[in-house]
Amino acid sequence: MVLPTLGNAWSGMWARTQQTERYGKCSLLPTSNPVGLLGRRSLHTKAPLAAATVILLVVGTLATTSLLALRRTLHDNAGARLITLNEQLGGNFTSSTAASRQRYLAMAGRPAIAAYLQDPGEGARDAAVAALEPSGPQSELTLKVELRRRDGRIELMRENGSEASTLLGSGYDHDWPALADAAASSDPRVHIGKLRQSGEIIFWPAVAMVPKHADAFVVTWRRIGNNAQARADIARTLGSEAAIYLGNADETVWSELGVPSSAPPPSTPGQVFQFARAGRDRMIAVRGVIGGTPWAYSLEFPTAVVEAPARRFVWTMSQIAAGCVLAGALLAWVVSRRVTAPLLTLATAADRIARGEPARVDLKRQDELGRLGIAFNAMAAEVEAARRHLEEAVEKRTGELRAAQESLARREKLALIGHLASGVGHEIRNPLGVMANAVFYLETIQPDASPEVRQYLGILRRQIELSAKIVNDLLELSRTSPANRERIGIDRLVDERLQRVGTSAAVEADIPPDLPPVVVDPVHAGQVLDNLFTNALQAIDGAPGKVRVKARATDDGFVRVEVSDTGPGIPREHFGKVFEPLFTTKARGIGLGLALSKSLAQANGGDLALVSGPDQSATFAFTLPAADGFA
Amino acid sequence: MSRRILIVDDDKEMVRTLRDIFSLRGWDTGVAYSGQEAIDAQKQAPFDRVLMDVKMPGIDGVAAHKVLKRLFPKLPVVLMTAHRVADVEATTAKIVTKPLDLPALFTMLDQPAAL
Repeated sequence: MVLPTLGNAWSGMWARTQQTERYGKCSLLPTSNPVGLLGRRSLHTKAPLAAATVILLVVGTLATTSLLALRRTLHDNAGARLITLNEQLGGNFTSSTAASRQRYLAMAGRPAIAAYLQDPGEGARDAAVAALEPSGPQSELTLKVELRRRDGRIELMRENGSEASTLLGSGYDHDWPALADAAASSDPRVHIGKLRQSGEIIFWPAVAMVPKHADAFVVTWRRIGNNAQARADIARTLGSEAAIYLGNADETVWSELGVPSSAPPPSTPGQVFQFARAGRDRMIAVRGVIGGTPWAYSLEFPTAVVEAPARRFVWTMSQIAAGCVLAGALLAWVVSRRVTAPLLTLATAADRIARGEPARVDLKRQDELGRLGIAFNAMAAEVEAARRHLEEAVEKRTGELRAAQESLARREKLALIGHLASGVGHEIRNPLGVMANAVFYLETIQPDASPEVRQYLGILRRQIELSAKIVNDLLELSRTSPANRERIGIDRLVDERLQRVGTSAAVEADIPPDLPPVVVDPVHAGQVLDNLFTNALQAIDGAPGKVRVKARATDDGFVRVEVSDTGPGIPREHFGKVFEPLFTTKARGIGLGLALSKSLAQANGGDLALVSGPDQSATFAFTLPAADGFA
Repeated sequence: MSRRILIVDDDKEMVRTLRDIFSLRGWDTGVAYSGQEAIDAQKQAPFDRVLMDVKMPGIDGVAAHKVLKRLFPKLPVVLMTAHRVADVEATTAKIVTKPLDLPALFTMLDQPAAL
């Protein structure tokens, strides 16, 4: 199913490309088949079948047409041959019959017979009987010779073999005067009688008038020979399948060389016709008459013999057709394989693409299929590029969405904490205030108290102050005011904050003077920087380390301020958490600084990120939108 | 004649500590535990200064200041808050945050022109 497979694979790819463009997402669900290639059989099955069918039709048509023409020609030829043979045979029969008549006449004219008729003495009788000796070819076929009177009375008789009496003694009722008249009116005065049948024997009378005697005639009874010689003669003359049937012209007593048979249908002598002979094949035949006799003959060939060349033709054509069909089918198979193999390769590749795997084809051809392969590769590259683009876009969007979600969660958490801190801070500040007042009062009224009392009052005062500071920081950090952005130089922002943290000695600032100004809320940006500096200074914790501040303009319209320290760095497992509210590793700290800073950075169109590895000291990158990129 | 200061807070211990501290510094002190009490006390016997908490039940510090300001336009009032200054309702009074920076407060109260 090469083409449907290719069609499905194509459809899948096509549908996914469409989805990619419309919805920007991929689906592995099977899709319907917009190409809709019909047919379930493989091309390399169908092509040989089609080729075989076409060849069969063509050869069959040609063979049938040729066969019909050939048969017509064969029949025509056979007919012509039959007519020729018929003419020869008719002539032969007529001339041999004429010769026979002369012989019968000669026998009847023998002097011994005439002498006997004049003086029928004993001696004359023996001489006359001797004169009834048959002569001429195949005289053994003569059954009996009789000398009769016109009324049929037998004067003399000579039998030739024992069967004669059996045949002729069975009361044949002959109209002897009619036979005598027929012979007398013939020229020469011989009459050949109709054929007669007795059992398997076909025989006939020849009546020859005795000269000068109107009352006496010689009857010669002969049978039709049935011998191999006659058969061989006919076969030699007419062919082994030919047959001659002889019978009376009035359709009675037909035989083939003396063997009784059915009569052929009546027909005009000399015209070729066909008929189905009972017990034999269909015959092509011609009828002839034998001059001087009441007989007819039928010269016949089986049409099967006539059509034998046609059958050989059909057989040869069948073999040729079979050869052609096989060769054609084989050729079609080879050719279709040549076509379908690349298509299968394409279909497989298209399936791979539909599954999202990379695929290229090398059909190693220069023809249209080769071009299809090149086009396919171009399309596959397009699809892959589109998919890659899509995946990148999805990844980017997902990242953005996740960042947005995190940002939102952070802001919500900060807002909640701010709300809480505000309430709790107020509640704690009041008791702290009372305590501070009390300590102030005690210190005021006891200027001369013991050193221990003064020390402990000092401890109380400092702890109260520390508590108050923590609460203040908490309230300050969770403050959420909308960004009020303005253009300001990054160097000014950094300087102000460094002055505030006060230990600029440990800070190395690398801020080029040609940086573009940034557009931020100075209070927010200051808060972020403040927090970063405080964290960095706490990380080095008075050790001889350094805090570095490096500012650079980026290609995409931001100024990036990197704050790093030479402290112990941040463990990798904390990377995902440092910006979460309430996450802290400090002994003292509530874990709001970095969360708040990131929130503020984002609220100002920038961002805050941790960029260093765990083995390095912490580096935070604070990006702020540059003025040029601020609409 | 010593100066008179009215200390107003619903937290009685806050009021007590402040009263003692101001007494030590030679102020005559009066106390009130709500905005209404503060107004009533001021009407009864006017004070030179009022130190008043913002968050109180009933009339809060800001509202009481408005009343006092109307009745005694020249009376210096300092409001105390445990919240951030920015979170306090808009007012013309001076605001200090708790815990109080007492030396700074003394200075402030000594210079009524600044109030």
